[in-house]
Amino acid sequence: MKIIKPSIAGTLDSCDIQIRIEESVDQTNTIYLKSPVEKQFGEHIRSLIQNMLDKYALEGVLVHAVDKGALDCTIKARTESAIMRAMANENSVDWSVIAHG
Amino acid sequence: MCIQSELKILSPDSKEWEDILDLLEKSNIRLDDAIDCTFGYFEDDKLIGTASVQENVIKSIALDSNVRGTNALGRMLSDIMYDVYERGFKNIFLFTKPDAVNSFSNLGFYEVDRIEIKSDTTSEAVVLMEKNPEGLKSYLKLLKNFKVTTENNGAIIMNANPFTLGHQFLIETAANACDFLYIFVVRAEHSTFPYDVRYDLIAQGTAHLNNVYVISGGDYIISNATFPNYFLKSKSSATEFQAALDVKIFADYIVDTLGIKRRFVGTEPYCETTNSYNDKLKELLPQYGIELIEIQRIETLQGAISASLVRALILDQNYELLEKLVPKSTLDFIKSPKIKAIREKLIDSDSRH
Repeated sequence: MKIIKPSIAGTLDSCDIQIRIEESVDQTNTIYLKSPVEKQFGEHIRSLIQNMLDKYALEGVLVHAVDKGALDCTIKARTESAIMRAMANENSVDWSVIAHG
Repeated sequence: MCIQSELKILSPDSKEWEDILDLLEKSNIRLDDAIDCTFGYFEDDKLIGTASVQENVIKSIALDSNVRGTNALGRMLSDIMYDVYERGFKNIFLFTKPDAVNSFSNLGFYEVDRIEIKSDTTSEAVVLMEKNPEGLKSYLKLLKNFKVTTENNGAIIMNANPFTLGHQFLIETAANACDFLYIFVVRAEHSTFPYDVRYDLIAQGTAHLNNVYVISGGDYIISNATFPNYFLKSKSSATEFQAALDVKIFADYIVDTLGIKRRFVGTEPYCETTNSYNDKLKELLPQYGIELIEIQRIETLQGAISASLVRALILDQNYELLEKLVPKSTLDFIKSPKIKAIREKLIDSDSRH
């Protein structure tokens, strides 16, 4: 799947993560991450974001994430909102079937 | 802890304006001349930060020293960033000083380039950062599509508002003096003629040359980000700085990508900003191993051909004289119905370029 427009979700507040999604210059997915806990949890945060991209089968997107110590649930939710917005889908989400494993 | 925060657009009439100026002065930051609006950021009704925005560029950022380390900068910036993105921009730039680069890097900004200007007593430095980690990279990737195999390539950067016989002469002379010539068109929309029209008229007016490419200058060649004061009428203190930054980005990235050895400019008899930019080019380009060649403008009975003269004649609908100053492709456009919107702009505009 391709995104329709660039999007953003989340803030730069403490315990939040800001996710910006846009079209990449090539066909691959690239994730850039800034985080105060990059050394400890960088890989984990990237995999949470990557899993969400996989869930929507996105290709050719550039994600820049600025983490301020967000919990897993926040990271997933912010990434999913950004994806929904990028697919211009945010108002037609069926929240009852959104499941997080 | 719950903070009541508020981002307000302020003007010199606002009652908080003195506080803004005070905050800037304490932080040793000057309020830029080229700005669309200035924000004041309040927490619990107290002014703790300010930033100004021009299109997608954030500058003159200052923060109360008492709140440093509390992530107030992040809270202020995320509000401003939403505002910029909402207006449809895809990338966000900001100007800052070297000692604040780390703070902005932690907020997800990436350094594009930096410049330091030293005088006898002072040394001042500015860093340009961008939000998109691949912003510059994707522009350079676009440029790579235009790479040619020849070695002695040249470059011209032009706004061409609109394309005249003077521009055509400059390009023809330059194209003769090198193997291949890249023409970069200023992307920013501060001119009477919109970018698309300026680009098309350059492309049509150079179609007879087989060793030129016409390419968008994008965000990194004389843009709001690299050289905002280029679009101001009068020279300001920041002009020299920005000219130096613009030249450095050109030399650090663009030149290597395309194998550019020399840059061409036309002599500038009228405009102070362009003139001082040309002087800066003369001084700096050789330091990066790039030759600058200044080409004398062609003169007519009406003096040197300039786009501002052409615009004045469009206003007067003086087609007889226009015929002597612009190539046929530009004249055709001027005579087409599309000129109506531009004439209307000319009537109530006083823009320089």
